Amino acid sequence: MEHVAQNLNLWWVLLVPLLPAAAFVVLLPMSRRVRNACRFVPIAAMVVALGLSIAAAVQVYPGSHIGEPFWQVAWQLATLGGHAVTISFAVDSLAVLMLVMVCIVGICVQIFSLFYMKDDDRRGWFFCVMALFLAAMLGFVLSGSLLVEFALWEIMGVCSYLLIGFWYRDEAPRKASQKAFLVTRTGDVGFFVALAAIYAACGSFEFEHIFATVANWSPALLMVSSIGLIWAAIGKSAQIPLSAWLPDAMAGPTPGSALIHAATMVVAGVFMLTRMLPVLTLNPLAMQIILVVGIITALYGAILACFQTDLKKVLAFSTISQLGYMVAAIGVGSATAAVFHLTTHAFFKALLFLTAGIIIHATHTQDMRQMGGLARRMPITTVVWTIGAFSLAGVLPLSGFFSKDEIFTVIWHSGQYWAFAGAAAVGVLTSLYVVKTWFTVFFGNSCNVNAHEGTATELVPVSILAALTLVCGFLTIPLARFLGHEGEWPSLTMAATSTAVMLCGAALGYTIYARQRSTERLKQIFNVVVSAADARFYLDWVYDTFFIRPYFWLSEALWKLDAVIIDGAVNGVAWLYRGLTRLINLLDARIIDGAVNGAAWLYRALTRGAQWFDSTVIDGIVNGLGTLSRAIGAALRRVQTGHLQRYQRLIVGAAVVIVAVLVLVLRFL
Amino acid sequence: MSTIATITTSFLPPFNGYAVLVAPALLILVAFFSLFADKLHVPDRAAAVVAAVVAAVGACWMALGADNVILFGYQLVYTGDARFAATAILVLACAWFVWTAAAGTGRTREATALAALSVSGAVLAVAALDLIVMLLALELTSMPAYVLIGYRRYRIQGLEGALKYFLLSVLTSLFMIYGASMLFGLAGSTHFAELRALTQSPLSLLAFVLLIIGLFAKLSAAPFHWWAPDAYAGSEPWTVSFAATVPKFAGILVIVRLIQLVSTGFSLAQSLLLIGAVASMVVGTFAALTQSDTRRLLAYSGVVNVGYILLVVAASAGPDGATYSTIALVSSVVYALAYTAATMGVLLVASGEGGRLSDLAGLSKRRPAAAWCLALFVLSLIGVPPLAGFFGKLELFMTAWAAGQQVFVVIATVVTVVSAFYYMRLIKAAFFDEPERQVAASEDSAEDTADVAPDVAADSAAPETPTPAPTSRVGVGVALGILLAVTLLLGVLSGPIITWLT
Repeated sequence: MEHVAQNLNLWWVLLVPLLPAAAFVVLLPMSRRVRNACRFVPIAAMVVALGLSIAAAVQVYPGSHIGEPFWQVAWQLATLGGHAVTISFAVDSLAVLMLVMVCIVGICVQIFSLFYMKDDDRRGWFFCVMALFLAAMLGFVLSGSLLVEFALWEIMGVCSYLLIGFWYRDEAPRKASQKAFLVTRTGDVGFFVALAAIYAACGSFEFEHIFATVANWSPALLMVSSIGLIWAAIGKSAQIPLSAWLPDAMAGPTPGSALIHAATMVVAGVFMLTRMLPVLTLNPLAMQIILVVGIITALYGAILACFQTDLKKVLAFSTISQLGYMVAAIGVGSATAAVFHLTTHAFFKALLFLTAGIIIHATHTQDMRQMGGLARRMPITTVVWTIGAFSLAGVLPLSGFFSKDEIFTVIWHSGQYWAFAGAAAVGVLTSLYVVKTWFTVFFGNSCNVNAHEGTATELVPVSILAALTLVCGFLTIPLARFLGHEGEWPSLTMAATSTAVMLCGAALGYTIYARQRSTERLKQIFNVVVSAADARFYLDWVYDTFFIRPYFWLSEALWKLDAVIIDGAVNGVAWLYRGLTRLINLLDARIIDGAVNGAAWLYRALTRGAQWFDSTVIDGIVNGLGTLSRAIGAALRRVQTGHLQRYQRLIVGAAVVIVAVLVLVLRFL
Repeated sequence: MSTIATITTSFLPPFNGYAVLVAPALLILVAFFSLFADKLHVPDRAAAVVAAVVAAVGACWMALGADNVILFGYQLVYTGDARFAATAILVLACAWFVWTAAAGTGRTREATALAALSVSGAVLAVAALDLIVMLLALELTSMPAYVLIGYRRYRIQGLEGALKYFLLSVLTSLFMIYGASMLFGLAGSTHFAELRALTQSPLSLLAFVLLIIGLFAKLSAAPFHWWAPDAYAGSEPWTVSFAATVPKFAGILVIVRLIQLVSTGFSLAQSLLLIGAVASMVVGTFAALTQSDTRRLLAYSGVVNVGYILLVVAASAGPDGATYSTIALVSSVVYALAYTAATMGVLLVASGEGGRLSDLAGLSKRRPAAAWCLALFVLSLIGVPPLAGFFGKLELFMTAWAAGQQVFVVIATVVTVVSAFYYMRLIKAAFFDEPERQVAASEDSAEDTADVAPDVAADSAAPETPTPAPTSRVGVGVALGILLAVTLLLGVLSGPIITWLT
């Protein structure tokens, strides 16, 4: 270990990701029963992690610039081909902020899941995966080198696969999990290319080294690495054109969705771009691409959110749209705006997802058209949903207003007015679908007479998130300062503009949905948009036509080719083989006759010996060894249960124990 | 050795080293042809006959060929020990093919093809001195074995066993490949000679441990043996007789080579191997005591025997391992042959009866010759002089003792004594138990025909008659005779063989 201490020793921050990881490792080899009973273990780990995160925040207050670590550590793992491979972690203000956010959201989701998943057979496993997911995200924000970041990025990919496909017995989650995994893997190719390019450019994966040398990189490598990183973020953060997986991912359990959408998976892409901003800013084209992708995605998500009838899908597309905002903010070079929106969004989107979970439990449907009039039956749920949704729309004192305003401001100041127009249009659409959802779900005709309020274990975490959504907006200045920026309150003009935008959409939504006007006429006017949106802007169609079907064609053609060649070969060699076997058969017949006579003689001799053996050898030995051995054998038999999963666990467990013992021996000998 | 070599090489046609690969090459050809044998309008068992002949010729060729053949730039090196191991594998395979040809397995050609592929993989694996060649050869050895274990496609237990074998084996293959990739990253080469230059670092140790763990699992050494009993118990004795012997042979050679070439400077390798050895011996012995199924019993016996071999492998991994490396290699190969030949023999005898111990009841009345073969194989497994098992074990324990592992040798000796108890149950069943009821056998045979029938239906394209030909008792006799000859001759000649090899 070589410490590069900078006046603070924050080694204990490493415990933040290690604790939930340890919870995962401890629970992994347990039986299902034990895991189900030990759900408190991951929660306890996360609570301690939250405490440590807050302590870290207090320690490093008042913060510093992003990328200026207070403490970092590099551990040399090995030397590969003459180059040192190090695992390194760094604690900077951005990391600390993310730690606190992820821990809070994580704990809320975990507590919520206690009740939400209580009837599921594999709830223990659900908690296990969540713990690993959170551990990976927490480690991800702390990582000090791109290689570590990549490893944890991949772990998150696996976890999202596991969570989305949690109900793997149904077809939809299974397919959705595969889609999510494959689409994000497509993005990961970009990450890998970027890793290679960056290593080629500067011979290291350490952020410190990368940022120190980036000015001298060759333009080609700079370009390749930027594009690769952007492609990776596009996959992970579900941006256009790799956004298809996120809406399907709603097939998983709702708390899992909350985690993926608010605190972990999709946030990772934005976070990675924020981290790599010093590289990206040197490349104007890359920045422009980021901005364009962000704005288009924001529009795409917002338009589609308006057309969804599934409550969770509305939220999914709204996540895509909000991520577009963050990416756009990065595209104009403002890490602070992106991170601020990321934080507020994490709170209110987790809030919305968890509340949606309560509603789905109460109404037993995800279809908004079968809800309605819930305000009377579920007052607390209605209030917290309203807080979250209005924050999403950007209503004045709520946190979403402040963070969105900051994004509007930075985009305006960048001088890219088309982008600002796009962002404003997204604002209109956002409040439109928020209002639509609000009226359809909570007001109007009551469809669910049996709907009931959620339980305390569900409402408490939701209320915590609601409180944070209320408060967070007023932290604009301190948060910006913590990240090393002189933040300022939104200017009056900007506040007025965004409020006007919001009201615009809200009024539209109110006229249509509160009065329950027919939308047929509107749909006729915007015919093109509507039909395109119905097909999700043909994204799935494009994938199917240009990638999936050609692949099947190719494999079928290869298979046919194979069949033709093999059949030809078989017929060609047929006569050869026949001749050979005839020859052998002939030989066989000759040999066997001779052998028969010899064997008969042997038979006779051997039978005679049998009688002697019987009485002398066997009886003595069989009775010799006692029942003790039998008892031990019976005990061992109990381990041999025949369960494949248990064997796998035993094998992996034994391997882990052996490796662990060796590591310990190496340390202390 | 040199005189024999010069005499034989002068008789053989001049060939460069590649001719040593005649046996695996021909076996792959046989496998290819027998896969399509149904289109050739030949008897189902003809393929097995061809394979047996090829294996026999290959064994002679391998035994008599030139020494120290270096192929593909030191990727395959056939020295005396590799040559002996390859010969042993081919002899075992020959016996197995003869049995298959004699008894028939239903779709015999497919069993032949699978076994031929596996054998060719094993013959390559014993000579591999390169990580990639080693991994590929090991996979080629074990993959056909998965299919063999699930050979009765319509019997659920067989498929379960095959799936367990497959999944657990894949899992542990992942360990191996992971370790191998790390070693490659560290050394910049996949060749053992370059890996030898590696210094001990946490990563290289981890890589090495992962490789060893994977090999432990392939050898079914504790605590990675879980797959073996279940996989074997699900399938028929004749598939087990192959899957439990030939692939294991390859694994033993590979682990010995790996230890020899990579272990220099790895102080912890020995303790890892000793842990595996003791765990295998103890767990295998006690688990075997309560088994009522021949296949399971022999699965655990395999665990124990691998434990003995690991003991000697550990001797060559010690600080003064270089002194013992040759004798360790030789004695483990010889013992491996002694143990696998006997195991295959027991299982082939059981193949005619059934998988449970109770199926053997009354064997001495029904098939006295087979019962006596069984007795000799079992005595060899126990280690009764003058059979191969005794001298093999003696050599193993003496080597381990000389290398300073007295405590472990004592454990091994105790385990050997205990092992006599469960091995004797085989003899007891065959000679002293009365068959419980006549129905048991007919039930079993009914079951067999029941799951042969859909196979035949599935192969309706096959032109041959669906009624299987009767078992040729002479052929079975020849197969058991080969194994018996190995058991007896290896016992008598173990001294000369070992001195010749060292």
